[in-house]
Amino acid sequence: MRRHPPTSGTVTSGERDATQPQVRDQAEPSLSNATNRVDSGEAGQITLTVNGVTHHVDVADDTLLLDALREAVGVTSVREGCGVGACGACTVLTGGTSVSSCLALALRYDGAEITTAEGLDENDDVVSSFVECGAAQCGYCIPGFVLMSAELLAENPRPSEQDITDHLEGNICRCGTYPEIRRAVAVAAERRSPK
Amino acid sequence: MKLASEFSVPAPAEKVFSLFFDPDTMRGCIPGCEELVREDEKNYRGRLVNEIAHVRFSAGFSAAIQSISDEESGKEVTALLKGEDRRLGSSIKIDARLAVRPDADESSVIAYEMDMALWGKLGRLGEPIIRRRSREVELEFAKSLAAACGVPVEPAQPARAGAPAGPAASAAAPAAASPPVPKAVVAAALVAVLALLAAVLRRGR
Amino acid sequence: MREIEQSWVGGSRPRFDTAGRVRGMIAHVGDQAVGAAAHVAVHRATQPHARIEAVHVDEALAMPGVYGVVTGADLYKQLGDRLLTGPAFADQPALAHEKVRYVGEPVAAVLAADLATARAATDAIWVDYEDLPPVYDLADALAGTAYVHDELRPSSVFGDLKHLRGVRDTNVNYTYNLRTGDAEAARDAGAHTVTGEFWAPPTHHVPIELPCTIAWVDSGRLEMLTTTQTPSYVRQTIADLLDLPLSRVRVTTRPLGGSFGAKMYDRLEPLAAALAWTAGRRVRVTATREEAFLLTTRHGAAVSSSLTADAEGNLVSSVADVRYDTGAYADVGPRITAKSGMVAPGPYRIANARVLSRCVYTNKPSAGPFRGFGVPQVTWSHESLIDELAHELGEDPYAFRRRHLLREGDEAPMGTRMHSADFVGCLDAVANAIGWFDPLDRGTGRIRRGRGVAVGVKAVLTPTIANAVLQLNQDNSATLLISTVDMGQGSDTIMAQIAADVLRMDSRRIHVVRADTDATPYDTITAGSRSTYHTGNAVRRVAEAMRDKLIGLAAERFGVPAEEVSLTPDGPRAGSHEVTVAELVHGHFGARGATLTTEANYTSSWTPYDKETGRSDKVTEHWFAGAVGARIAVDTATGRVRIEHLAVAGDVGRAINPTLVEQQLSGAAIMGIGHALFDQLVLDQGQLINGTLLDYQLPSIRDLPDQLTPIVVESPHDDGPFGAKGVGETGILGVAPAIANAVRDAVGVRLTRLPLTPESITMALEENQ
Ligand code: FES
Ligand code: FES
Repeated sequence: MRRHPPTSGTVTSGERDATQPQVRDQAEPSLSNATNRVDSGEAGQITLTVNGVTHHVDVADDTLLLDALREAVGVTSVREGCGVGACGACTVLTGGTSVSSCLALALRYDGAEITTAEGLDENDDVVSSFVECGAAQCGYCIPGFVLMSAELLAENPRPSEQDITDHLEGNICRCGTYPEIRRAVAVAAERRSPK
Repeated sequence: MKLASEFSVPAPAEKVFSLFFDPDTMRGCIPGCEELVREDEKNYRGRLVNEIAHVRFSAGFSAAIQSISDEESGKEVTALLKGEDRRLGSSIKIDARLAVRPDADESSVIAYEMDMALWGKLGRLGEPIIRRRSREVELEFAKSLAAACGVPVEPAQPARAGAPAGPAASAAAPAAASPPVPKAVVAAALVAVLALLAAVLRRGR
Repeated sequence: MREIEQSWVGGSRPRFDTAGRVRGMIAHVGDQAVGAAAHVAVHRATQPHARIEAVHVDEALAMPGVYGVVTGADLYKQLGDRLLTGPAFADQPALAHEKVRYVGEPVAAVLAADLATARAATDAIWVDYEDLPPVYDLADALAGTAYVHDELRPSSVFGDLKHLRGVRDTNVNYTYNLRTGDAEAARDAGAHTVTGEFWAPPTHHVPIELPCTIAWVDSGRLEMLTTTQTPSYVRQTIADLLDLPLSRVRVTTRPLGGSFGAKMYDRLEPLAAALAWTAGRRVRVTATREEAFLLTTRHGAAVSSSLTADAEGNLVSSVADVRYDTGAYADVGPRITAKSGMVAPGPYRIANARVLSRCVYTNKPSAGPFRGFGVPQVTWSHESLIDELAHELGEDPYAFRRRHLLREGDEAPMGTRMHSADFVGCLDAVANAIGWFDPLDRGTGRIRRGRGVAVGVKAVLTPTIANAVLQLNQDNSATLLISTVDMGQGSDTIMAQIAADVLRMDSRRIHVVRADTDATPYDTITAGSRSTYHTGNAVRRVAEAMRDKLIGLAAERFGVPAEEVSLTPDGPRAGSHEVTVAELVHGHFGARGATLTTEANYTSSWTPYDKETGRSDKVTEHWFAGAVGARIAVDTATGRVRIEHLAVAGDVGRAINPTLVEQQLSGAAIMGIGHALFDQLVLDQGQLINGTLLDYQLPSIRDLPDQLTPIVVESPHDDGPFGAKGVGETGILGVAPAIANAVRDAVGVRLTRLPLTPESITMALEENQ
């Protein structure tokens, strides 16, 4: 399952940003170095509500949401693993929908409500089942899996094993914690809506 | 990576060859070729300039002729080409073999094989993209050449993908009236590989 | 089990700070605020092999926000030959000097106000090169017409490489020879010989955390915070590079977001240190994923080998010619060449063995350590050969292996005896798990099923040194200082378990300090599955010293001989005397919050192998034994392999934390599935063409086998802490051959080149018809 930009509400419509990475010969992330550049055009200030707290953030027109969150808001659970939308380490939820923040231009998220893994409560079903199932080794990828799982359960409270696989296959865990992650999602589903 | 293909031009080999004498035609066939200079018998140098999506690029290249054979049934040249685009942090090296042979129905076949090394940012684009693009360029080139020959702009045959240039189809065709000098053949070789180089560089942006 | 006991050795207490990991609250190196720093980006070579004639930096320097541009020549001017570093050969410059040796090699570094400016400025640098003939692969390299290095430059780290200094006109930087008996004669005289040309391609570790190094100068000292598995090594390297005493270099770490061998030895650190030192300012060096692909790789390896049985089916000869492609810089390749070359015959009783193992330079990104340290590449050969030999002899591949496997006390072909290496137990366990002895529904039509097994053997890194310092706080909590780096394997958890078990305390009250060479003592490296055994032993000893200290204090307080005092979870006891640890320490110092300190060392030893025969009676401190069993289904129309059941067993001596051990086994198995089926770096004339995660395929949750069974086998090691050994690499050794053997069983084709792509399988099926 791919992470999308939100389709309505928080995003001002406009031209595509780099959110279609899977089309290999269309996006060329490898040739661009778009991060927060001193001399690039000033785009001004945006407002991001991150885990319920509102932040006013200065961004350039090529600032990535990933960098805005990490550098300006100080969120550390949102991480770069690939920069091309292929690993899921940078996943955030905006209005409940998963987004690869490494591909999202911050400007387009002015006014967005963003949830990151540290914004979830310790007793959240997904968080607590990940902890109980030991679904973390180094843990670097895990916040991304947690958010994807939260999105899945919001859409589909009783996912089959296949549903879980389909929804999480765009996230990479190099430590190979997949069996524990799959178990944790099933446990969270059970906890949220017992049979 | 190795690329090989051949394509047909709806003009007799003789006419194609004669066009190769004309540097203006050749420059016109190479997208963005601003300069093409013969330095000596074996060495050429040139520059490709283009502007794609507001990005201007400029790639210098050199070509060194490795061998020439001038048989009755066709002409063949091998050359080593090198190019560099500083802005793109990329270089290219091509071992090319190009053959032109007469074909049936007043047309001729241009066949090329090249072993291409692409290093730096362009090299990371991967083989499928370059292969596909090379095919497009081939068609484009066949089209311009056909136009230069004064025939309708639809090229006779699209490329036969991946087919290496086989032995000349027919040895029956008599030798061209005026045997092409090596320089002409060189130009033909350059056209094919430089068109490709240009295409790849353009793609890189 | 009482809750406290669950936190000791053998208990599956949760990993340290699981909740923090799940919510992303563990701060990694890249999360640390750096303040005012120069951000660094590098300009990279666009030639595989060329002499640098000029580096043009003026345009880059003129860009707003650029602080400076540094070239290899600039650094060489200041550092001289010290610029060249490396664990085995001092051959790698932080920035290319005089020559470039692979496409993508760093040539110049830009220091700028922010990363985007630095990166933009690297595009404004250009270099004039004079081409040199490239060495693209092993064949080019061994043809001996062009040389990647003018002469060999062994580093001072390993004394046994000294004889190679100054050797010219070769791309082979190290050769290991094993000669036991006369393998060629035995092969020629043998009744049945199978041979193969095996290839395991270069692959990448791809830890999800990207590398990052921050370096600065403070009071004339070079300090850094970096993503490394080898802080003690890095400290020494930086001290050598800058010609500083060790006391003026500080290397600190944070938990790593995975590593698998990628973040060790010389990665970003020499460059960061050289820039910080010469520029006199704080620098932050990171790598994009594309750049990280170039920092190090796993050796591609070719193995030409044979295995021979006599008429009775006894193994009589093993011959292997192993070539490791180490790329442009040797890194630890020479070590891999020897340590892994010597197990090329496999864990079998074979009277005659001949191995020629070579480490070969090419114009490619450098290859270094990767989970398994070169052993998976030779396991690919020996486990395919023995399987094929069993088929040829009409024997059951499981039973045939079992008959020949090394047992406790047996001498392996390289001369070292086996202890605590239960190959038979591992093989039996996986065979049972995948139902080897049950009838198999082999399938009809397109889908065909098969089963395969494979066994692996690997030596632990030896000799190595581990030190530990323990501070027992007055409130009966403790601070453990070791330089082991937790990168997901769980060392912070199990080291606390070992210490807590000795001290009868709750391991969750022990904090393991993150490696900081100003505070934590020397430890060779966190790699090669060595930490549980080596550092674990140092931790056991340091805790025992603390226990003795507490008992001594208690004996004094109680007025009884020390022998009568025992330590319990509630404190020291002797008859009716009792005291809590908190009271005891408080009484001793008369202060709250005081600490008691102990320290300990553990060093392993070896007998260097003979130069001529490659043999040693103790080439390693101990062995890892592992086995993998696979039941698969092949779609003969598409060539796709579906893994129905994968069982992976490892002999860990004793599991300090069984849950974490199982995760290491299954995690390694999943990585191994990638290596078996799709994972590989593709290079075209020296250019890496799949170095992004869009192009480089990694195992995802979809690649999980239908069933994955990790199996912990415990054959305690006499000298291990509580009998324990490491486990980080055991699970990966046999995965690829087990799957390939299952493919052989299913559809009758023997593939010798990894990965087993659908195309390679359908092609082999066509050829087989
Ligand atoms: S960093 Fe965004 S998907 Fe990998
Ligand atoms: S837990 Fe390490 S990458 Fe997933």
